[in-house]
Amino acid sequence: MNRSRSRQRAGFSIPELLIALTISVTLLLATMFALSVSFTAFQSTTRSVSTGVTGRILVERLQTLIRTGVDFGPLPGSPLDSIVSSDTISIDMGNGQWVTLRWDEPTEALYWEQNGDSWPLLEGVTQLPTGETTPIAPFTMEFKDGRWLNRAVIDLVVEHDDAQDMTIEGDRNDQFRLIGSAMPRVTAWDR
Amino acid sequence: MTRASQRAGQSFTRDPRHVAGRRGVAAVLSMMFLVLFASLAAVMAVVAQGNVRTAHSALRISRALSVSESGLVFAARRLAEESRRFVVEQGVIDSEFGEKLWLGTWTNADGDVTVESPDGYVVLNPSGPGLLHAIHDAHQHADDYDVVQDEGIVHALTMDEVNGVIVTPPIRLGDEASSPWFRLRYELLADGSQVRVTSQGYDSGIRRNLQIDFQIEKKIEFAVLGPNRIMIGKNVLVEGPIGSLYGTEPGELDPDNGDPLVLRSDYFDLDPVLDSRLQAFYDAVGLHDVDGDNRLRPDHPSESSGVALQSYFVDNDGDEYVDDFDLFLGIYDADTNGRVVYDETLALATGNAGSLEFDLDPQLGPLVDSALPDRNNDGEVNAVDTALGWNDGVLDARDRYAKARGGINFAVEQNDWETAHGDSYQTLVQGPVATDPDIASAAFDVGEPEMIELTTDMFSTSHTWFSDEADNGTPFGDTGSGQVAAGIASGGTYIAPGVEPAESVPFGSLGAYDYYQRPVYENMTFTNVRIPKGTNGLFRNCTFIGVAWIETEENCMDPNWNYTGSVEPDGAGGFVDRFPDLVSTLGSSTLQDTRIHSNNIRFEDCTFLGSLAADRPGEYTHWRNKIQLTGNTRCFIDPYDQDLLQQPDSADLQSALLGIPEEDRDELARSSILMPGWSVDVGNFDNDAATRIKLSGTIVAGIIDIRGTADVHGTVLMTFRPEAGSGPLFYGGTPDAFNTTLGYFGSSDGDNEGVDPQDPGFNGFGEITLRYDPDGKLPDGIPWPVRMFPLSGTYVEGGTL
Repeated sequence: MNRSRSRQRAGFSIPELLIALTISVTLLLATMFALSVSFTAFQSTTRSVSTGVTGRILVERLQTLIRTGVDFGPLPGSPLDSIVSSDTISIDMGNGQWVTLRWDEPTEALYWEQNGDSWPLLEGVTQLPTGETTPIAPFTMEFKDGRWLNRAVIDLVVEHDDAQDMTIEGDRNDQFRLIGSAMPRVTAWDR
Repeated sequence: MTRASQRAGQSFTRDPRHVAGRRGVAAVLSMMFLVLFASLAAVMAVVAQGNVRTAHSALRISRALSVSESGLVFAARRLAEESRRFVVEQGVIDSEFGEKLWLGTWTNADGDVTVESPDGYVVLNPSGPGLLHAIHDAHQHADDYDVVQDEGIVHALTMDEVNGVIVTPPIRLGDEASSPWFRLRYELLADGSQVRVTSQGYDSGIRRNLQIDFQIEKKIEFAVLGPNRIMIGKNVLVEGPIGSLYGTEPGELDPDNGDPLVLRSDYFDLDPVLDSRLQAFYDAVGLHDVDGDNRLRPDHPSESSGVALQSYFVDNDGDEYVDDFDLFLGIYDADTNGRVVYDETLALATGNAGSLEFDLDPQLGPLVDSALPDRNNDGEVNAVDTALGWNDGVLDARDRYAKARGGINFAVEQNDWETAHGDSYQTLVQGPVATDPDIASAAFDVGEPEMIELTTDMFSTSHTWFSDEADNGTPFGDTGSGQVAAGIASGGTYIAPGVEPAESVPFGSLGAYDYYQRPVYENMTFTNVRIPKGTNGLFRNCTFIGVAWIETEENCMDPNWNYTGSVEPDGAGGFVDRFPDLVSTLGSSTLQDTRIHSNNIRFEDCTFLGSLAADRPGEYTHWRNKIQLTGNTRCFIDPYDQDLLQQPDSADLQSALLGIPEEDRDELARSSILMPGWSVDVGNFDNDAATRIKLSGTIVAGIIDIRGTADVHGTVLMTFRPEAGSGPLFYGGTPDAFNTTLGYFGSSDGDNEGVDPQDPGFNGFGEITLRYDPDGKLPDGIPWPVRMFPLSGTYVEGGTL
């Protein structure tokens, strides 16, 4: 009898057990939530960085196209105008091939169009900078005599994938403003 | 003790294993959180570092690209500086000759090739004679840069003389060991006349390669170049550089009239108020224009002081300059809209409706409005160019008015000229000078190789093709034989000398120095013909196909040659000897009249489907060896020339040109007038606006005068440098008496040959354009440096060293 009574005293009482279980479950749930938030945050950050890197590479590529292109469009409506802001830029690659880069507002994507084919180059291109209510043009071209491109400015407003956004982040809009300009070398070297 | 305290007390005295177990749960949880948050922190750090690395890589890529571009610019400068040391006679650098120049394998058959000494460095043992070697030696001896290791490797300067390739060691931009650098590769292309430069830029492990091709070519980049005084009058626009070699020899800067260049504003002689304003403006320009473009900038820190001198110095056309066009607008722009309507009908048709504001000079408006037809440089002249201001009936900023476009180069030093003149040279050189941003509006003390003085002797080989071509034709003949007889048989007319009245030389000039009774050849066609010496004819409404070669006695160095046999009116309708005691010698012969050994010819209303060329007189004898092109002179060589296609007889002209083999047309296109040492007068003293003279290609003459209405598309080169005591100045006079006159000068300016606008005999100011043709080809024989310029369309990002 004394031995069995002694064993009972060595264990937890039911209230102790319940309290311990409650604490443990709470801690585990908190840990799980923290883990989940952390992983989602990691994914979001990674995605954000990926979008930034992709965008940067894309702008580099577009600048290269502009530097090496030999003719460009669209031309100003009037030859007396020198600045054209447009959703597209067409580039003669020098081999007779024209490439058009087109921003499509409904799909919020930048498309590469060549020989009648079209495919997305970058998605999440909203062209809506913070505070703006109307999209801005992704391409601004400065022409000489209404005919020859002197400089092109690329201005892309890109948001990363919404699926990776978290409620905990609130309505914060993580967007990138990717800006680059280039002068066609056919103009720079034309003496 | 209570039970609770007892339990509590017991708990402190319990088995230590139980205590350790409770502590273990907390530790595990703590460790879990620690590991989790540490892992997350590490991941965040890695991601952040990746972002920084990506940005750094982008920076290095950009810097590598920039340094590679610096390499291309370096190469372009090196090629430009070294290539201009090579002075060649061949007019066109084709694939074969280009390869020879690059490799240094030319022979005597390729004409003279002179290689000047390097500028700024010394090469004791040149690696070879070619351009390739010059570039190599320049890298070896002109540069002084540190040895740079390319990731542990030291590259040497290498030259492959067989394939024509040079590869340089790294050339570092900056003093630090880690500074970016570039390497260059020069490679002759299969074309032979082009060299490809590959530049590899390096920055912190990132390499970017760029390529561009350079063309080896020969161009005389002047609209007009001469060793005698050049006078460019009112209503003359020059599109291309002007080069004046005059003023460097003793006596040339004669205080009375010895100015290397006179450039007269197009807006003089229209209105007395405008004249006074122009005079005040050029006084201000002389004091305040800092860049020699004959304009003042209202926003320039020092030029604005000149603008402030007069209230009417206003930028009326809004182009950020004040020039004589603004003063013109200030007088004639009645509605102050920045434009002056000179042709109401045309203005209305082009959407610029307005009331007529300027009709004083019916040729000035079209001259300014029609300049630069291809305003957007797209190869077509169309409605877009009209929208850009071309030929739209109004004069405004869109016309980009410039008196001279391309810069003015003087051999004389500015101080010498202004000391002799006693005032700023800009009191003589008037009218806006427009240039590209990297070209000086006015440059002084310019010598070789930028400007080379050409002499008649230099054209010994240039004539060969033209002379041979003329030899291929039927002899000139007479009324019974040759091309003259054929012309008569085809409906032409020959009128013997003396039937028509004697005419003065120059034709129509008030200051004639001789008179000729000319035979007249009318309505004839000549194909590849040699006009014999002593013909001294008048060709009226004739067509010349191929080469029209004019013969003369080249050995005409006798100082009396010019004057022997000259006549003057006797006052009774006849003529008497002007210098009865003068004779000339030719070898062992004594000549009473040098006309029969020379040729003084006038072409009236003639069409040239080819070139005019001639023997080279040993001395400038403008009384005896002279041609005058008057009336509606037409020159065409391109069968598809737009101007030709607008001619009423375009079908015949085109057919005749297409009958000339293409390779012959290519040769003929090099020069429409190739007459070194001759006096050439183009145009009419009476300025018949309906008769426009059109010349193209390289035009070579001893001295050329162009008056009336003319369009010259090419390069005008003069060979005669007047020298006191010799040639036409043997009996006195000063070098300033011989000048090249283009366009109108009044009776009281220039060389006093013009007619005053108030004179009843005044027929207008004329309308002349001189347009340098960058695509023009040169005849052989002119020693001029080659140049290597980048072909912008060949730019590529990529390639390998």
